[in-house]
Amino acid sequence: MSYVAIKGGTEAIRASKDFFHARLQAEDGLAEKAIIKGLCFSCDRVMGEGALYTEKLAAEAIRKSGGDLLEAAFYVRAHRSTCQRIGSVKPIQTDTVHLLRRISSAFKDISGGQVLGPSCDYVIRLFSSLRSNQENQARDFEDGQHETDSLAASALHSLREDDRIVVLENTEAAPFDVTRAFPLPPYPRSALMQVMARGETGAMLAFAYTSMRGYGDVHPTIGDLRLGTAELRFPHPFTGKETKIGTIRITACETVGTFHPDPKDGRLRLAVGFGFCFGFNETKAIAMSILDLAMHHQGYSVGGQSIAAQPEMIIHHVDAIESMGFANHFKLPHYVTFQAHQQVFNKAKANDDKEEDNE
Amino acid sequence: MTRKRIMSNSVTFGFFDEDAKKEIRRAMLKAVALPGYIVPFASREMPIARGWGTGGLQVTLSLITEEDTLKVIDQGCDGSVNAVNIRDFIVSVTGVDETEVTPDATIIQTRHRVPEYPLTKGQTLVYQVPYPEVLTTVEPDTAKQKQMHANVDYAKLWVLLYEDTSQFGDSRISSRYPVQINNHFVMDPSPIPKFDIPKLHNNPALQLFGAGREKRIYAIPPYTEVKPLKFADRDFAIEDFAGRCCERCGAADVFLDEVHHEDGTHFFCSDTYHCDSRRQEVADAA
Amino acid sequence: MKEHDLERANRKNFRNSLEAMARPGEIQPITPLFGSGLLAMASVLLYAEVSCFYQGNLDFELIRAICGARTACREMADYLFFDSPDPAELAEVKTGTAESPEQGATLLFDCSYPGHEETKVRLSGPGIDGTKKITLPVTAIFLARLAEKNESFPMGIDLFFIDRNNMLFGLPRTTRIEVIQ
Repeated sequence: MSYVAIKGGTEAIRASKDFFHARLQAEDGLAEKAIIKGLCFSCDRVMGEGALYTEKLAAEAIRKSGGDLLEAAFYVRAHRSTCQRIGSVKPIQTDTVHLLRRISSAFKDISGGQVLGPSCDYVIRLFSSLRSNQENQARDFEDGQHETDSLAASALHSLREDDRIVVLENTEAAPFDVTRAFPLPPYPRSALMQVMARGETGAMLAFAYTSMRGYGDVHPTIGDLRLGTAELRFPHPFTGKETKIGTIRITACETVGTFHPDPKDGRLRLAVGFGFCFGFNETKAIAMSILDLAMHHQGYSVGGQSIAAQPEMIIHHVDAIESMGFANHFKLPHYVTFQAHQQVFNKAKANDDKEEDNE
Repeated sequence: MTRKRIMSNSVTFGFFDEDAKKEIRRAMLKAVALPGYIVPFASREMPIARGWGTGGLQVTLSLITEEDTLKVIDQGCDGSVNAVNIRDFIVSVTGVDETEVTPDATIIQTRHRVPEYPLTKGQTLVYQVPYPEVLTTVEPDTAKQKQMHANVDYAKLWVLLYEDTSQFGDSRISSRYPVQINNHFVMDPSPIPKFDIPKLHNNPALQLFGAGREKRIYAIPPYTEVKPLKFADRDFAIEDFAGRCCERCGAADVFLDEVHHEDGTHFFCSDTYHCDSRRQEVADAA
Repeated sequence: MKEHDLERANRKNFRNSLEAMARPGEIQPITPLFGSGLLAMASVLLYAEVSCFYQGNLDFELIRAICGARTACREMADYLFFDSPDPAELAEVKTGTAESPEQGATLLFDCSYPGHEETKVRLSGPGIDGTKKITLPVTAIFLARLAEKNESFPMGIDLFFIDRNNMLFGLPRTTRIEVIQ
């Protein structure tokens, strides 16, 4: 499928696209329901990085992109650009989330219990099972178990009540919206949180990992990690009355870092970071909470200035759509700039060779 | 030739919503009032990937009307894969006429070249930009960059120019050569070759620059002074092709593409419309 | 009520306003909205993330509400609209900062009132081929105040004027204005 550099682009593009789609054709096709259920974590990741809550379109995007999750998130993000903004829902309080799973590493037991919920944490990752057929038979979980009535306050609630946790001062009148305005330094915390909430899991994991490994002094403990369903409440445009307009599945994580003098009054308190995303994605929420800790509790750094602690590093480099797009843009023709580059090189070399000869 | 196609009914004119367009339009108006200054904007995601022209696309889609005639080129070529893709997309969401004939176009979206055919008052040139910030190479920190522009402090660029000149006889910068606009802001002209830099100066057309991923819009108003950064005792050296001509049309004063075939190295006009029209002239004269 | 394709009107009017700002001295036609060029320009410029100021006689509220723009005091407003070009209106508006000069306000003056004064000027600067002599629908005092406001480039304000024929003039802060007799 070579394209002639001089002309002839249209036919080549059309053929290339047809070829791509032809390769993706499975005999039975991939049913939307199969993707939403069987590839649920892929869908959740795509919703989170695409920054639009839609299981249907996330599944469709995964199908169209052949399972390339960066491409799929891109589809969702582009679709988001066509959606009109009607307004904002009321902020979700995480202790009103109907819990499917909630754990705390900080305490052995907590009020409401350590609810493991559905988790692969303890799965032995072997392709062939050594267990007998009987053990292999999956237990029958009712389908409706996605919604529970289980509510619980944060496991860090009592520490907060005792005023042992730093509460960062909020100087912003309203949350910053990076999709509506471009953030400039000093970056508001809400802008950083928003960029991370819709950030790419791998990128955030890598940066958080640098902090964990010592390029930074954060030794975190998960205070409260929860997966569940949150209600969205929207004020009616005419009556102003709050109406429930739907529910979304979410992941939220509070991570406890080290202690330091609280800028508010100099008293020692514990630093806590917060991570949040659409759908179920524990890795991302944990990574986000560590980055939040590193960026907003900088004054106590033992490991020195690190990437994870710099808002300038995080805000520009965790968006999947941007980094993926730019990385791949290098495939576009660059023969004019390369020609220009060769000319500069040739002249510099001629200059260099001349000087060599003169010596 | 000029072609017309029908806009698909299910889409908002220009793909994205009115509020998005208004924010971009605000940025464009301020950009024109602040020649060479990079104005921040929110930047919507497009169905075309970041890094592939979403900035130029957002500028074009926010300024285009039903009456426009659109030309899109990449590396000077209308038929280049990316130019075709972008042009198709714009036409599908606007229904505008499209053309390859440079003088017939009212909006020209370009990647990495300025058309050889001189532009006129009725035209707007929209550049696709990967790096809007001219200081990127010498200072990557956003806060420091803003401060340097505020103070018209381009010392770090001059130091780079000096170091390159003393080591290599000239700047190592091949495309994206820094230019000073209206004797104030220094700007990145996008990855056009130095050959095209003189065309920026005092141009009758409006020149707009869109960087989608980096979220900046900037402008050179018509009839504005544009000077490449250079030392007083040095010439601004543009690319030269050692007296070669285009093998298709014979042009000697244009930027040439170097193409390697089995039978050897050939040189052709980078600007394909210019080449076609010269060949037509030659044919008509015969 | 007559149907208005607001978006279509906005894009045509925006394009002309961009030309007006890019080529100071070359006036451009504006299609009025509800009989007013000022309201048509408000519809072009205003949206949810910007603020506006207007204390004149037109029914501005409908347009403002449709666009979703906030109101603000004159020191903070991004866009200010006036029924006449009173030099005093220039005093308190914001000029942005050296680091963020794009925050400087945009002002739009309706100059269609009968018996308005005019000043002959010679314009030069970006957007103008050499120099251009035109007649601006404002007083020399207005122009003096404007020059003071814009003396610390890149900070400054950018202006539009609309005359009685709904023709739009643009004056970016880069334009040098010389009053001639």
